[in-house]
Amino acid sequence: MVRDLRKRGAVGLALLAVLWSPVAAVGQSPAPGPSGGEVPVVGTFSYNSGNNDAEPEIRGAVHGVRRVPGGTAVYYSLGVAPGETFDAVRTMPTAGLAEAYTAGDAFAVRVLDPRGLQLYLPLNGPQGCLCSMVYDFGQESGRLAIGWAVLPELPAKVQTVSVLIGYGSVEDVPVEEGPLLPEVQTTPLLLGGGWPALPMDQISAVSDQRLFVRTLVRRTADRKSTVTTSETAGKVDEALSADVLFAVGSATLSPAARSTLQQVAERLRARAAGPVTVVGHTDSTGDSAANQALSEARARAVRDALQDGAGAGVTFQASGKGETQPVADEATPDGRQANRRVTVTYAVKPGS
Amino acid sequence: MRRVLVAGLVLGLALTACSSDDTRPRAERSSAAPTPTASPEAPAQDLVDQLLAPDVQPDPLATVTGTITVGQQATPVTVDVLEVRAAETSTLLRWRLRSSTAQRVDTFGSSMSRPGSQDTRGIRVLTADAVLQPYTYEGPEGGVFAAAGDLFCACSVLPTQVGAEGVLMYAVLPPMTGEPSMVDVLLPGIAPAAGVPVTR
Repeated sequence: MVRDLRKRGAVGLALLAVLWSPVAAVGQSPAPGPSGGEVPVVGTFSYNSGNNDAEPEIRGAVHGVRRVPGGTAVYYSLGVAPGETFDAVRTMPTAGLAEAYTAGDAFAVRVLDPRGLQLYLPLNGPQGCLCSMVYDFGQESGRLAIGWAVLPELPAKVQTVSVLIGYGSVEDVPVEEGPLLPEVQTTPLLLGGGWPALPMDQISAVSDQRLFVRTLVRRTADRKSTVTTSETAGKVDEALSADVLFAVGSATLSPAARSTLQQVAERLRARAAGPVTVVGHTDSTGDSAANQALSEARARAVRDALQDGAGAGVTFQASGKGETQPVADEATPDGRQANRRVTVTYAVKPGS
Repeated sequence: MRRVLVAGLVLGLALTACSSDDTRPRAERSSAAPTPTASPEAPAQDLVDQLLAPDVQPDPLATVTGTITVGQQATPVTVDVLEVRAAETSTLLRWRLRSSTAQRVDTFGSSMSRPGSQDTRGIRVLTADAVLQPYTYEGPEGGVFAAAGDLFCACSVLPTQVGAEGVLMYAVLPPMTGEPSMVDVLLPGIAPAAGVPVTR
């Protein structure tokens, strides 16, 4: 679907929309040339070099997220405006302790699958990162240098992703088939000069692509923060505010609790696979033993209400953790409120 | 120098499936194996010229101020909300963090970030019926940080400092339900940015 770029009000985008030719059909591509040829564009980005506003703005585009044999290729380009100082090393974050990459790897190219709740990082094999090195971008301003990364294979059902690149992101990127052509062996490779030849032999040398797939967590809450939902692939955790469910110090459900719990029960009936775990939590105010007892009683009360609403097909386990598992700072009122909760955790049925 | 804020202005010009209007002789089409693509194309030099053009700074959708603390130091900062874009599977928020004065100020390790990670997952987008938080993700299984949960965020990490110019920031959040035309944006310690228009 074509968006009206002119609504964005940015200089040049209206012109770009005019230049875009609508005649390219799915399955065919205009003949790309070695220079000045047409290039696919699926989104643009910009961010401050080095995440520092004292440095130039890095600008670029994502040219494709494309399935290739054994993996997924991300093609992009980036550069700085003419006259600016281009420090290629500062175009990407540096690899930290938690990363498998090494200094110089342009590793900060990630694909986020919001529906599947997975995040994909560049593959790293015996010969290192399957990605550009920042030095490949050259040192000159006023041009866009091509970068690339090969990530794990995306599931066949993944059609649209977000691309996190450098210190920025691009949304709504379609997943397409096949590498970009023609492939050339040039460094630095500039936009319009062809596309990088992907190291296909190195893809198969990666021992386990799952090492480069991360679990994504999606968090939402209702506007009153009565229920905060955290979801990963296959599992849901709903934190219900104890302040809404119960009066202070009480394990008797409030009138306001009924509608909330009915909605939770409906979700359980629709999505829960296997036993549902209900756990009561308190803040640290008052006696620990009393808090433990209160959390257990509250968990039982919520369990009973959910059982009524979810039906006999859903089973429950209820327990209390007292004040032992805070999720926020007990020193603040907001933190203590967040800690007063009952959590409802369950695995979800596939496809639900 | 004013700067083009092309950041995050996703072209999103994905083609829908359509019949071919390419009437060029077959020999003029790509001689390599066809590269199926639904993405729009543009001349490379035009894209270079557009993306790297001299700056024109569009007006932010909302500007709010607040105070962050780094240690014992309270620092006034300004937040410009640049874009809230609703997509089918996600919401993109783009914003800019800058010093409220001409002085550069420390931001890393401030009250705006999550302790230990320095990311900005505390940002919230509020619709009429929901509060959206940035996606987060976990470290590698069995790795050094495996037990720490979702240490990473699909959102910006705070810069070390910001000046009056400001650092561009982003967050990827879950999709909105319904089609709200406006949302509120919240950041820890910062006044709410209310009624921010949503683009699609």
